[in-house]
Amino acid sequence: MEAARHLDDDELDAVFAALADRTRRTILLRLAEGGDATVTELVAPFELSQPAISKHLKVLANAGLISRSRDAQRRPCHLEVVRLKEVSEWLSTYREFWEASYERLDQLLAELQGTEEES
Amino acid sequence: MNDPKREPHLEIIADPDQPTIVTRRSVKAPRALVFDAFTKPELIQRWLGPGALEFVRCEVDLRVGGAWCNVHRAPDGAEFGFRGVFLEIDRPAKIVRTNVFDMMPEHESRETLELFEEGGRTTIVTTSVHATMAGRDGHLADGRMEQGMQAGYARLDALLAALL
Repeated sequence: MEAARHLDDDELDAVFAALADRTRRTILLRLAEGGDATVTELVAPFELSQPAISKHLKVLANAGLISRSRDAQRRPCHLEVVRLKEVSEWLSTYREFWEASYERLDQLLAELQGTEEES
Repeated sequence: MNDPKREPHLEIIADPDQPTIVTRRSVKAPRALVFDAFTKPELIQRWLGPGALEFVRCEVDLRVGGAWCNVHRAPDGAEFGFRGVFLEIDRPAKIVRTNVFDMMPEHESRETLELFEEGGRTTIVTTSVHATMAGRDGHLADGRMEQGMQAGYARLDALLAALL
């Protein structure tokens, strides 16, 4: 499975591990819908401590899914849409794998039944 | 790809909070034939995997406890092997099997294939259930994958659908 080779396996591991958590997905959605936010703003909807949220943010940042600005104390979090798009491209290879396979299955089944594939 | 005259599109259904991925696809054939296409090595090798991947090994011991394996080779020589054991066989309606990807031996998934025939067509439904999500929170910071790749795809699909 080729395509999207610009993300290496370690990067993909980091992204998938980061996404395999409901709190982190919620944080990403919050950033996508509401724009950049500080840790304090992100803590509000969760029943989690600020250190716990900071730990989640670190995982997201390591995966390249968010960035933290150097803006002194506020250090707002920013969603890195580019990374999501890179992963999305890679993900589409999974769909293509099955779509291509099923198209070949259609042909095989038509052949086995002695019929021509409709076009 | 979205031409309605073509064979129905592949549906990929993901629950963002469960480590499962469901695919659904309809084909124009009775299910006994589809069952054969999924279980006979000489047929499997003719359709599974895109053209760029060569089949180097395909073995099916179709009985409960029997083993199966598919090994593909990419043009660059890299091999991808998938193998497992059959847990349930209900010809021609259902198969349950385990699946382990060679490159991630610690992640075993359980796959169910179900075939539903109606009006000369068969709907193929596959369900992959990956390792539990329990314990994932213990690995917050270490970047390890707690679930198989496909569970990752499933969650990502759902997230991307919401974001993009």
